[in-house]
Amino acid sequence: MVYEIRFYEVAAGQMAEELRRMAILAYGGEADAAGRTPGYDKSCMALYKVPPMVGVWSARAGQGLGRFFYMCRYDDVATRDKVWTDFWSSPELAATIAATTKTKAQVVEHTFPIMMRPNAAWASVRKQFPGSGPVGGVHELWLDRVAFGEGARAHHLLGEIDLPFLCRRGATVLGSFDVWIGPDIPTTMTFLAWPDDAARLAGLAALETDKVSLAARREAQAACKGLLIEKRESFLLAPAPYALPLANFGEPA
Amino acid sequence: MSIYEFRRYDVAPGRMGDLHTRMRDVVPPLFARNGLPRPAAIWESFAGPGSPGYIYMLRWPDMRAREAAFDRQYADTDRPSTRNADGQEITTRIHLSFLRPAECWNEVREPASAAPVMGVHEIVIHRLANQRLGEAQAALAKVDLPFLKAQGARILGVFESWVGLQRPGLVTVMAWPDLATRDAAFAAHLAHPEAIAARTAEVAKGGRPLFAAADIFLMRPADYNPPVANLGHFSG
Repeated sequence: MVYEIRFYEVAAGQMAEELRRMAILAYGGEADAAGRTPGYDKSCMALYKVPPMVGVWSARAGQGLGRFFYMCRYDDVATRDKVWTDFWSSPELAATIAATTKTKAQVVEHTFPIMMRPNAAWASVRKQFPGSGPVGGVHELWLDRVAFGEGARAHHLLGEIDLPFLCRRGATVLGSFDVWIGPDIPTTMTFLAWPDDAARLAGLAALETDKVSLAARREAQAACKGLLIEKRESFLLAPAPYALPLANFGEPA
Repeated sequence: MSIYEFRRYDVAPGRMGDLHTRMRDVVPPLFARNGLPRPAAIWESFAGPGSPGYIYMLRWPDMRAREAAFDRQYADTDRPSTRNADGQEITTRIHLSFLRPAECWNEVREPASAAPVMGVHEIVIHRLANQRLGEAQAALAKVDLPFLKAQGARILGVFESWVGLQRPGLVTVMAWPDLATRDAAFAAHLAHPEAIAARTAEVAKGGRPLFAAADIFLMRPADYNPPVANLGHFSG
């Protein structure tokens, strides 16, 4: 099983249009005030077997604002190549965009597709979230630049120490991955959900001073003779109401 | 359609020699027995993002073949450690992406030849305005690459970014006889009236630059795995 996250750079003022366009293409029509759409089965993505999104977000904070993200899951990357190639060249895509686009302005400036694989950190914590429904609230994405050759140690710190700690303070782990095709390998990407901003801030502040986490971090740094996580970039995300992800992105616990 | 795997490594200071030794002496038989192709080219970058870097490209018939071969490679118990003899990591970061041959490559291809192409090589990763890939290919094929060829460039490849790099994007791979020729051509291209007119028309047409920005790598091809004309792409 492989995952793809697609980072979009959306033109200023066009985020609402991009969110609306995604609802139409992936969920069969615009979302109503409650976030309801006609559904994936009625979408033109379904026609070409592009799988349902496991999450759709816009960024509330982070590098390069105007960011829009979505994520898909495939059996393998060959399947991914086929379904998207078919979809992008389909008459339905062109016709739907022509019929539904409300602006003449450029909506998307660039896209950046990255392939990922689930990692051991996620395997360590996924049993905490069996069979739950859609997860709203405040979402965030961490991109951890891991010291080269230290993936196992980073997974251990994340999966055995930090994520369980944050879960005890209200976080839900949506998923954690290793970048497989993309820049800056090794990088892990971890998606968290929080009930609200206050819970998130309190949870992260507590982690900063948690003695167990600090000791584990010191131990890891001594073992790898440097920073285990060389840099963390993060995005604060607003999940699209019509595409709320499931805990564990719907994978079995 | 073939796909090209573009592997770029940031190399820890002082360990480039370890990596060359490994890729020249240790890795080729492992690649061969596990079904990985001989790289279309191997380079050491001496200018550009992440330099000094180690870059190579692999040509695959499709992703399934690539995944099967790498599964065998990673399971091979003879695969060397990622560390050198002193226990230090040789590379610090990997940037992995996949490219597809661009349609316009055919317009600038060279006659097939098995002769090694040495000199100074250059990879340019062009970031493009969205939904204008065809226009950018036409500009490269009609205006920019013919001009650079006339200044001494050999076009080794033109690719479309597919996954792992910003899209839409085009990647050109060129060879120059030497750095002085390349630098003179670079300066001449900046001042070339036809290129300037093309850029001006592109902005007028789309309201923004077609070629938004570019990452440029200057490189030396590895003498133990030099590329041939067109990276061998049109030779079957």
